[in-house]
Formats: sequence, C-alpha cells, structure tokens
Amino acid sequence: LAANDSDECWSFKGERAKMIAVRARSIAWRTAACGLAVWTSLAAPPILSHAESSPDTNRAASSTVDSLLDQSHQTAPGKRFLTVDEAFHVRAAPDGAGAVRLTWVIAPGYYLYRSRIRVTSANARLGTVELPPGQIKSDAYLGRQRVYHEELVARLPVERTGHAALELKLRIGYQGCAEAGLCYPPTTRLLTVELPPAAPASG
Amino acid sequence: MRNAGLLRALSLAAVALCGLLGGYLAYRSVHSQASIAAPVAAKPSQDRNAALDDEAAGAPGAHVVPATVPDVELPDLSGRVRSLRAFLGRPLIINFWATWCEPCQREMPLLARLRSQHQEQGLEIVGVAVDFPNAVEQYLRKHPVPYPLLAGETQGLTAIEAFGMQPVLPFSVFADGRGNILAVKLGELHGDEAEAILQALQQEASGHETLESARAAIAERLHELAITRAKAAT
Repeated sequence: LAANDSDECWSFKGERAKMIAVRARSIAWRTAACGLAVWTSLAAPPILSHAESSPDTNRAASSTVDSLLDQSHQTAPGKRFLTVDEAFHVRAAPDGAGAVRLTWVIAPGYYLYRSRIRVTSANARLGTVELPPGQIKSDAYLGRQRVYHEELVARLPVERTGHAALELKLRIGYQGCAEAGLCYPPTTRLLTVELPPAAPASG
Repeated sequence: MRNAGLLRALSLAAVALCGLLGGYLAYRSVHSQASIAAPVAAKPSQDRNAALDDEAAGAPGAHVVPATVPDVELPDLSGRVRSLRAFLGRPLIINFWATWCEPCQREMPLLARLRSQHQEQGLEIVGVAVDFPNAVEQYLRKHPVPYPLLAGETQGLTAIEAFGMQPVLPFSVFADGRGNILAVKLGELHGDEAEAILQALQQEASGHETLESARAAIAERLHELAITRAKAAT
C-alpha cells in the first residue's frame, strides 16, 4: 500500500509535473504570441507612426478617402509615381585619371533638364561638364527646352594638382519631371569617386 | 496544488493581458487609419518598370490625406503670415507649385480662368509656392497671377506634409466652404478634371450630394478622364 501510495503519489506527482510543464509551456506560448503581437504592432510601417505623430488628428475615415488617397498618388490609372532616385539614378566612375564619367539612368516616362545639371567639388577643381545636346522638348506655353530621356552620360574633367590617387568628392545637382505632368524638386546627391594616380608629366 | 492554482492564475492573467492589449491595438489601428497607410519603402532602382506599374509598390507619398484642410500657416509675398483655413467659407482650390516646375506654370492660366468663370460660386484659389519668395516675385514680374499667393520653401514643405503629400509638384487640393477636402489632383490639372471636380463640389455644397458621394463621384470621374487621356496619348 505504501508502495502503491508511493506509486500513486509518484504517479500523481508525475501528472502534476506534466501538468505544470504543459501549463508553463502554454504560458510561454501565450506570452510569446502576445509579445509577437506587440512587436508586430509596434514595428508597423513607419508611415503609421508618421500618421500618428502628425499634428492633424482629423483623419479621414471612409473608403471613399481611400480612393482619394489612391488617386492623389497616381500619375495615371494604376501608376504611382516613383521616388526621385527611382526616376533619376545617378552614379559616377573614373574616366582615366583626369575625368569622371557621370551616368544618369532615367526611368521611362521621365526626363531631366539639361540646364539644371550642376556639379561642384569641395576638394578639386573641375572643368566644365561635357553634356550631350539632348532632345528638344517644345511646349506652347514654355517654349523649347533641352532634356534627356532614358540615359545621360556626361564627362567631367578634373584638374589634378598632384600625382597621388584622389578621393574626389562631388556634389551633383539635377532636376527632372515626369511626362505625366509633375516635377521633382531640384535634387543634390553627394558621390565620392576614387581617381587613380595621375601619370607624371612626360619630359 | 498551490502551484497549479498559481499557474492557472498566471495563465489567466496572461490571456487577460493579451486580450486587453489586443483590444487596445485594434482600437488604435482603427482610429489611426493604419489601413489606408502603406509602407514607404522604396523599390530597388533596378526594378524600375515594375515599380512604375505596380500599384502595390511602396510609393513615395503614401501618407494620409486629411479629411479637412489642415491648420497650416505660410507667409504671403509681403511677409504677412496667413492661415490656409482663413480662406475657407467658400469653395477653395489650394494649388501647390514652384518656379522650377513647368507643369505648374502651364496650369496657372487655367487656374486664373477657373477663378473668373466660377466667381458666382465664390470660388477662391490660393497658390502655395514651395519656393523662395524672391524667386516667386521674379517669376510674377513676367507672369502675374490674379489669385492670392503664399510662399516659403520650408513652410511650403511643411504644408505639403500636412496634406499627406510628397514634394512632387504640382498638386491641387479642392475643398468645400467648410474645409472638407473633396479631391487632391496630383500632377498638372486639366480643364475637364477641374470642371468635373467643381461640379461635384457645387452639388455637395448645395446639398444635392453628400460629401462621401461627391468624393466617390470625383474619384470615379478623374479615373475615367485619366484613362481617356492615357489612351489618347498612346
């Protein structure tokens, strides 16, 4: 009996241990699930916190405002406009020791103005950027403008004062629009180009 | 047994806590309109065409357009600070533009014409130049504008944000006299679009349409016009 009691007791203890383990697991899972829910909610897209931190709390609450929102961010049915870096992606690479090749990849339906390209450097003297003629864009109201579509490749001469390799810092300004009838503000991108050592002057 | 009771109590507390938290999060989600906000993540630049055609792509400006004209202040060209809401009390078009934006310049004669054609409705137009005031003044010497203008680069950007938009211009906000926003037209405004919006705005102002039905009618009509325009362009 004592043994039985003991067994029963042991068995009971075993059940209790199992029960405790199950309960503990259950709590752990529930806590984890709860934690996940909190994390998911708090780690929601940044726009959520933007909306919440906005001083204007009077936000539209109907599905018709969904269409207002959709329509207000489209350039044409089903076409949302691109970010400026998606529309105009600029990169710079050495073109020998004394020049840089600047390349803009321009998204279909977007264009860059020739007259609004500016390049300066804080640590080197630059020549005049050599821009291709581009295409003429005529407008009844605004007249003729030279623009670039698809791609712009320009050569930028750099005046070298020493022979050592140069970490050239460029400040590149440009501005463009979408054919759909909207424009991006003048944009500046800072790029660094590693120019190789310049060959010493012969003679 | 005490342990089992304790565990049961802990378990119940965990469930209750989760329930409370879930309820709060659901409440917050509904009231913050998270459902109409989308992530702003940019698409990789190599996926350009896909980004252009993908409605679900994280577009710039996936902010929330407010239901009413926000309380935004900007200086006029004399430097006097004006509130946008001070122009309410009549149908209003708030046109965001800049001197570097050619579609903006192209639509300005249309805006001037709309203002004079809809005088009986009391339509007012306010131009918000997201630009330096001296650049605006220089521009106006060649191209005078008959409607009030407010200008400021930083203040203009703040105003754009308050309207849930991105600094991509032009865009025009159409509001009724009470300040309810009925439409936001991104990109160059065309005459047929403006007339369709103003007609719905008049219907709403006269009580023939509810605000919601007027918004829906405008969205539908703008969509139709955009399709027609896209077809004509190809």
